[in-house]
Amino acid sequence: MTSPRLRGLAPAIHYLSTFPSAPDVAEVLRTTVFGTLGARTCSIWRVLDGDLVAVAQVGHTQEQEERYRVLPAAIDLLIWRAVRTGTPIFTDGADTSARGNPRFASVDEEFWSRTLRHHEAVAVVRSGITYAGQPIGALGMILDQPWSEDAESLGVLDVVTSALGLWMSSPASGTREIAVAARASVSSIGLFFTERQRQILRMVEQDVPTAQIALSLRVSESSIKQDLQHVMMALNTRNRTVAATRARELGVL
Amino acid sequence: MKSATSFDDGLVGLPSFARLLASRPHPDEIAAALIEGPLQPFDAFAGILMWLREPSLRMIGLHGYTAEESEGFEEIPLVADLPITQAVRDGEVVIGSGETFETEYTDHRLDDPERWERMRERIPVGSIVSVPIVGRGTVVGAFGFTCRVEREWTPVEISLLETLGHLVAMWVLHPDSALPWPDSSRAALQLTDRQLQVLRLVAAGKTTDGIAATLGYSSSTIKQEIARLLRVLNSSSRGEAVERAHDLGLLETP
Repeated sequence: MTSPRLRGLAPAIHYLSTFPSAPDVAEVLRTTVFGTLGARTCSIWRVLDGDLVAVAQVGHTQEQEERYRVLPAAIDLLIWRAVRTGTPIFTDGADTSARGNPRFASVDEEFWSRTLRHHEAVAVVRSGITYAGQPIGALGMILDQPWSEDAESLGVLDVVTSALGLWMSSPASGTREIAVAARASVSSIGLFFTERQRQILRMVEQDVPTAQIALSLRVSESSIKQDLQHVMMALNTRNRTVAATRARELGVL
Repeated sequence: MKSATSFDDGLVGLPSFARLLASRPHPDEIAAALIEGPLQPFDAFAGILMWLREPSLRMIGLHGYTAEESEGFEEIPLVADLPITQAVRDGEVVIGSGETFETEYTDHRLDDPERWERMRERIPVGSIVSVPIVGRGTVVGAFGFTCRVEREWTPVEISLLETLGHLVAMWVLHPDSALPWPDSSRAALQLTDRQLQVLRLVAAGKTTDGIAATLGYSSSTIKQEIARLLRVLNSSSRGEAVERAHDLGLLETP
């Protein structure tokens, strides 16, 4: 009568009501309620000064943890879309099947693809965490099983993220302190751009034409254009000069 | 009689109930949402939300009972012989029958048979269920509800009730619920004497320099203390911090 998905729910909610520390919460979610759904990683971010700052990342390598510690609001990431729209986003293991979001900027795509392969990803789940109607954080998971979008799975995710909202917004969770400390230790935004993308942006700033950029970086013109596409999407603009200016303002260059 | 209701039926109402709890609800809204949400498949028609403030339970939310039916239950000493106090004392779900409710328990509130007669006339009373609200490993309250029909409760259904209790506990323990925490709020927030002094002076409308002068510390020390106060009170402004502190009873003079 009862699906295995529900088995982990009651103990997980019980555990959350003891206001445990963030890494413990992420580990319990990964191994219990979402463990039966194939969760390989579980990360929890908190909104801090407009950015998402990780308060717990379990299942990731140290390098991955560092890379995804701060997710700046200025970067157009799927997880930010989930946070802003209040609707979870599910993608496949190659992260190409975002429903309603066929295109999204994944700057530093290569590292992300490696991350997905490393975890043998079959699905990626991203959800906002809200409290009193305000987005206060996000939950992200890499799964080695397909995510089924039935009412039951969505219901479990809903219950967990609501409970996470209560937990996170209470001082007893200690997440604010963790986020403040994590943020201070990372200068993150640069991580979302490759060295080449930064070089290109610097030349765009000086009005160097695409052909010449290609020449000086010894790559084809089309790959320069591709890089610029990524960068522009990431920075929410269709204009390369605006992208360069924004990148400068954000301290990427 | 209705056929057995599954845990899954109750789960249908669980997500929206969880969302409600994370929206700074009034306790009456919580009682209503329980009855009309996850408990609705069990034919629940009225519910009561009690908060444990030793040595009694205090009614904080109510839905579906008439004034006469809830009379006398505003404050219940924990020692009273009632299913809801039993649930709190034992930390376990207590399921009883409407038929024998008045005869099984000896609390004086049940002495008026006519009152229960009128209730049974108004609505057929089935199961009477009391669920402890357990958070941080301790019981912080309970909710009780009445069903139209008596039914057998399966272990998974009882597990749903426990889950609801844990969710409500997260609200009870949340600073925005405006209920002082069961352990003293000050201890829970780990405030120092100095922070408490600063907090009271902020509440009195003093400026940073004014507080520094009053307490004989430098302004930068006071600023640091205020920054920590904002953090532990989860506030973005002094006004908000004072409001929370007030709700938590931190500003009451000892």
